[in-house]
Amino acid sequence: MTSMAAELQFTLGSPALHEKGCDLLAQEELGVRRVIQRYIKDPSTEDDIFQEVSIKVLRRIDTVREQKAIRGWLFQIARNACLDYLRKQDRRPNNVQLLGISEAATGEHSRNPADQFCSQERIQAIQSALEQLPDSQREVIHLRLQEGLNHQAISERLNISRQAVEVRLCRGRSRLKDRLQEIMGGDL
Amino acid sequence: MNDLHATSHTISNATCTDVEELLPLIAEGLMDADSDPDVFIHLADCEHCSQSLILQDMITLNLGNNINMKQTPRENVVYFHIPKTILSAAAILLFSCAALLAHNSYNASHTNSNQAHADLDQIAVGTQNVPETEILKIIPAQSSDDVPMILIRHHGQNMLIRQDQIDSGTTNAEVSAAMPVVVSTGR
Repeated sequence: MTSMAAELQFTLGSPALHEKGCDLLAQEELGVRRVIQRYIKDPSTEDDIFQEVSIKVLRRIDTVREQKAIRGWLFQIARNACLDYLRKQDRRPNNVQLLGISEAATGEHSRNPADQFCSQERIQAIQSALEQLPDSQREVIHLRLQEGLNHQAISERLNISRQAVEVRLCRGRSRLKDRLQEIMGGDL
Repeated sequence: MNDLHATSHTISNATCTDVEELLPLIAEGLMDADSDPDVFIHLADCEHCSQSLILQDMITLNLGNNINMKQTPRENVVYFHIPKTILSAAAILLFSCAALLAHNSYNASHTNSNQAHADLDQIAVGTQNVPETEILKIIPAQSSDDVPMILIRHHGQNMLIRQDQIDSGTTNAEVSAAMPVVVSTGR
């Protein structure tokens, strides 16, 4: 028995659920991996994340209420796993020393999957797009994404309603996304 | 089939137009597969919409982690935005109070308070020397061995400057050379 199978058997109480989960994963593996590959370009990291997704699926398969919703549920789990992984990575493109050590050690540019998703080129593209936003939208996006405030805190800070915060955030994000798409074209 | 971009086995009732409008909400974590299964089914099946969501995620991750780089771990900072005219008046008043309180406990350091006040005025009016600087908070000295600290925002970075390090005509280079330290205020 593989270590993963052993862990799953320890985790799951019901063989029937286990079997149901395994069948689902076998059926949807390609789709799940496709989602992961959009965020993570490194194959070995992709495998790690798929394994993580599999464990979550097998643990929570009994929480899915509608059979037809399973594919969307799988998409969400895969996306969340990728985002969690990317957030955990310590990426400091301004830290020249760290990059220098990385290059010296590998003899080439870092292959950190997080660096590929959040490359310097993309950062500059986003910064450029951010500067073109109306002040009201840029301010809200700054407070939300760069200062880490939640919607309520932003509404109190700017003395506007929470709905106004969410509207400005949505509009700002849409504009950023469209502008980013123009700058980067199909190169994701 | 509900939309041109979706695959043939889509069973979602959501269209690309619907989902496109909802992407910012999804990126903000305000929607999930339990509350809106049709949207996520569509995302699972539609290459176009899932690519658009990736762009939103890219914005979130890049802005959150990279663009506004701080050189120290993020801590809770008392940070508020006040118009400069009010800010400079408040800064002068607070600093004057802090200097007055310190006068009862200190001895020789008080002779520099007027000069520091004038120096602070330079920065607070913000200033020919350091136009990109905004004073956020004056932190009074906590003990007789301490000096007041000034929390400023300089070129998008929060910094602490010791009051006794402020010279008249402080330049951008001198402010930039100050330690970019973020101090927890316990909030």
